[in-house]
Amino acid sequence: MWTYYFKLSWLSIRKTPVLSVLMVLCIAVGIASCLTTFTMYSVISSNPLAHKNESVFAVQLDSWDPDNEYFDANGIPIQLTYRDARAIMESDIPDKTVIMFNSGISIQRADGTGESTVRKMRVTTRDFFSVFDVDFVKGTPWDDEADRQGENVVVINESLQKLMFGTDESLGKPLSLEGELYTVVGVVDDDWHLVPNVYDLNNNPFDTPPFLYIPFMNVQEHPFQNWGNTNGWNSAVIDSYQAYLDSELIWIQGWVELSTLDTKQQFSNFLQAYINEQKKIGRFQRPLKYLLNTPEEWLDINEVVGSDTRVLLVLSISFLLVCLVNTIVMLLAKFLKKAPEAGVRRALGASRQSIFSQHVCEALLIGVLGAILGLLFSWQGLAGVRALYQSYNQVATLSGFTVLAAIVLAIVTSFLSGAFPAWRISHTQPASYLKTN
Amino acid sequence: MFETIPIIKSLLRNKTGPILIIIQLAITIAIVSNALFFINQRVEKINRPTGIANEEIVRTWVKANHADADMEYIIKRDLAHIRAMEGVIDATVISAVPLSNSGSASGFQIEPGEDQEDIPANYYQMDEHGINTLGMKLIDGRNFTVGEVEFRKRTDIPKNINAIATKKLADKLFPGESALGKTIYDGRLEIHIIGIVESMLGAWLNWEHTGNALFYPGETLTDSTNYLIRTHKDETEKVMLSVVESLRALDSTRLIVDEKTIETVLKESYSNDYAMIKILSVVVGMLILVNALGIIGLTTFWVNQRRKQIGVRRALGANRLAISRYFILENMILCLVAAAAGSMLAFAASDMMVRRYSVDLLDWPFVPFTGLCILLLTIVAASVPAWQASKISPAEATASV
Repeated sequence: MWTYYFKLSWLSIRKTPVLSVLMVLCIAVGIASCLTTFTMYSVISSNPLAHKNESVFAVQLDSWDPDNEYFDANGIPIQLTYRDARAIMESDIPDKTVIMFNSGISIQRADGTGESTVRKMRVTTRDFFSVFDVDFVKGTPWDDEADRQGENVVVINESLQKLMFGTDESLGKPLSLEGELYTVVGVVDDDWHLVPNVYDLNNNPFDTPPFLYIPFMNVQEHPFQNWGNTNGWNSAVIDSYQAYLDSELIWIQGWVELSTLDTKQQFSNFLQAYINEQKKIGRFQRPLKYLLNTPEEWLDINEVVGSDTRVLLVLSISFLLVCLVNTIVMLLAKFLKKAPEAGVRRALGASRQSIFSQHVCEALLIGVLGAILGLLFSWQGLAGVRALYQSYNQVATLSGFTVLAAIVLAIVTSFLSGAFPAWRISHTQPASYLKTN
Repeated sequence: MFETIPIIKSLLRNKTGPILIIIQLAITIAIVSNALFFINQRVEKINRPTGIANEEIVRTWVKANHADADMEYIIKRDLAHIRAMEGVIDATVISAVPLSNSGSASGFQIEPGEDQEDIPANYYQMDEHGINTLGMKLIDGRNFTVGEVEFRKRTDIPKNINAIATKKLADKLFPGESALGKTIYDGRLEIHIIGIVESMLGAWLNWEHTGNALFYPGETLTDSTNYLIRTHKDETEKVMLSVVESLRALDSTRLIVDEKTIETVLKESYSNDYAMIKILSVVVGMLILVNALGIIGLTTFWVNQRRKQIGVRRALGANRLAISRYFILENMILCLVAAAAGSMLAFAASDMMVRRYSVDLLDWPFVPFTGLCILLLTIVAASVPAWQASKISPAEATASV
């Protein structure tokens, strides 16, 4: 029966070309706007570390001003002081510890030729690469010894390798960072990119990854620029680099991997004991508070999904609703106009059920056509979003899931819009349409 | 109007179509009034006066090629050179670029010590050419003198310093009185206010304390710094390029990157707001289109359903205008009912968004404005089918096929 219904539907659609085109357009536009904002929303709110949500944690310690709570996020500082970061590094409880900050540095070829250039750099402990699943195309992260001593080693990415060395033979070769020589030990895949970059949300959560990485302990000797945020609450005079390191300024991000509940409990105890110890020497004057946040919680605390995105989502769903109602109106108009035909069929013995099915079929066909057109519009819509929001280049792309979602959405929408008119027409009295008066 | 009651009665008899159209128009009014409100908010935000001559200023960033460079000498030499260039009105060194979403802030108190209420403000360091380069208006007090402009090492922390504040900050610190000559404190730093400028938005355009800004004379010497150069509105690109060229000519071993006009910096900082305006405008446009088409479609359908009825009326003496008027009036009534429902829906939606997404509550004038626009839209959309209805001849009254 269904092939018959589809044939009927196709003929019927062709009989009212203008109306059919309008209906298809209506559904297409509604679906496109929904898909575009939904794609954006789902990427912006995605958690790239979902698979490690139970084992990787961002550390927060409330070392802030006794008179005021921290002015942002969840009322606790979202970064660590140097002293607290070092204390966490000393603990052997976590399976892995990442202590790091965002920086930038001027880079030049070791032989002094060529122009120097400035690139984004991450100053971090070596566990960064394993905790955040960084892909290497060559070499490996530096070893434990280099990590502890803060040796002059560097991991660069493919783009930087190409820029500085021209070839892909950079392992073991030196690179000049701000006048000092560092040896390349590994090369990172250009395609590695956490979207959003949950490990450090101080700047743009959708920004490109760093071009190079050096061991955190280099910070003991060198004051590197901080390209993230530095915040403080007390008025201690900072008149030397050592004073800066000893101060209550927060500028370091800390993550730990605690793979069992037991380890997590042990580490919590450690943090608690540490804070109590510090209280005795006059630090941590606020009520004892520390948090181990999962990546999901961390994204939430840092408000990655802005209100703009949410408003757009609400807008899209309402827009789809308008398109839905509009399609119902148009289908109703069309079906009731063809009521005489349905009357004849009923007189010839068709059941209400089959009249209903026949008309729903027509609505579904329009829906499928609308889905195809809608996907085309979505593709354009997402290109438009990429053009408007520079930082969303990674975010606004069509995926297999989107295509599936479009088709499902179209079918549901067209069924909903077709059901009522189809029901109406299946319930008309055939006799009234057979009369000529 | 005399036809209103019969129209309402006939609408009530066949409720489905009218109810659907009312729902559609109501949702549209709710969406469009909120969308227009958001657009208006963003446009107002973007059009805020910056307090500086943002169309006339360009920025360059320079970084010495080694850590021991004599930055004080370099900065003074560079600036003297730039100021002598053709097309340059003035130039200054500055610690951060205004309007760029990047800068420094601190809390300032009117009494020293702990436990005091502090007012957050954005602060900059610049030289005595700063005010003129930025194009700010000095409304009280004086500018910095050459002698006050000190180039300090990072470890040289002054205990005492003069500063110029924006009027907004001055009024926040000392409401009702002149801030001139008064002293404020940032930790152990004593700050004497020697001048007040009219206004300056500052670094962060989404900040709740935008407009609170403080300017110190001098600069902390690191291996890099920003220069701001003021020129004429239509020469910014040209002057920017020639400044970069001559800076390179003075010293080609250093890094000179990221030169931009402040106009570009401003547009980039507002890019999310521009994007929102564009997206919302597209949505409003599409909604209007969809609704117009829907109304044309439905009215055409009704006209066709009632050919006989129209024919009868014409036969009984109704003129063509009366027939058209009937359909237009019918649509207007639907629109008015939709407007009432739509207004409630608009505020309900706005209220939900206020509570969940912390946006502002819809400003009420947007609802009647939107309602009026949609009313005009329905009249225009219905006019063509209504005119076609009027062409139905009275002969249809007695036709049996």
